[in-house]
Amino acid sequence: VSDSKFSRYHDPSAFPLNAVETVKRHAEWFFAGKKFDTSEAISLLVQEATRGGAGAVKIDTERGWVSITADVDWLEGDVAAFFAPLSYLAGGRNSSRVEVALTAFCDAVVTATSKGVFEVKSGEHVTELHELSTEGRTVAFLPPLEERPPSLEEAKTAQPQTTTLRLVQGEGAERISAAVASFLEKQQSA
Amino acid sequence: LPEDGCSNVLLYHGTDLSSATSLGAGAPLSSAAAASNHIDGESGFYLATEKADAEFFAVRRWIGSVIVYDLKGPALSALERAGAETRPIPGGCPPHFCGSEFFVPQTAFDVFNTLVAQGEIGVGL
Repeated sequence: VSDSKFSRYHDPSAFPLNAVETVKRHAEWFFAGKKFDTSEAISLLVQEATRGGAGAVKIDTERGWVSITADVDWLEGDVAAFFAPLSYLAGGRNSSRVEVALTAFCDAVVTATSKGVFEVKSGEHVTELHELSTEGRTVAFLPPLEERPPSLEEAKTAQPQTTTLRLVQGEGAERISAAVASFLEKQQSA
Repeated sequence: LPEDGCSNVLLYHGTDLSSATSLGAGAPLSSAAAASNHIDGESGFYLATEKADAEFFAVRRWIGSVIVYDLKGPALSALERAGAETRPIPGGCPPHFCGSEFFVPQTAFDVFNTLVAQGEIGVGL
């Protein structure tokens, strides 16, 4: 090999890779759309919690924050997963916990157990969340602005963009038949 | 990986900074080091076909680095005859891997080290 880039001796210490900064360049490791996705993050956290033995997991959204609370501490007291893509036994070979992606992409991240609150990444409203307490573990994060879940009022006022068929269970066969007929009529006239 | 036995191929090894420094300085592959450093899967030497995947294996050890290996076609063939193989990276999800791995079992370490010494495998960053 004569190419000067491939001589025999090199010093990698000149090119260290920081874990969180590297995760920022590789959103595709965690998210199908290659950018932070709140729903996928929630799904991966719930998966981790249940694999960690949780029997009950609660998801809350409030003022832009998302919090996941489980009845067990799926990190077993170790917050290292917020700072590197660490594998875990229940996740299988070459797995990675998702917490580091929260640190990399979210505006703020806080976690709490019965032993107290740990502020992983500072942000607005973090002081209000310091009252978090749980017997298991809570992870709360403020997604990037464009990924924050809508408030209840925003969700109520959101209008459907397309005509959809909606069948409400319990309305009876006649109402459902009428709904289907009405939907088809609208589709044909569109 | 190319099957014509002629083309060079670049492969990437992600590991902790200490191991990367040692390999970059020309240290040969060693069964003892492979056994003590591996996190999961069978003990051996793993190369990724995509740099992004190697970076994952580097930073899951906190601060790491990626070493690039430039394998000449005959070197690739020699390693395959010694038991090395290209295969999908198992597990993950997350992370979602974008390439494959080239696995060099411990029984092929001597062949690998000889090829590096002969210049059939180049080491870079």
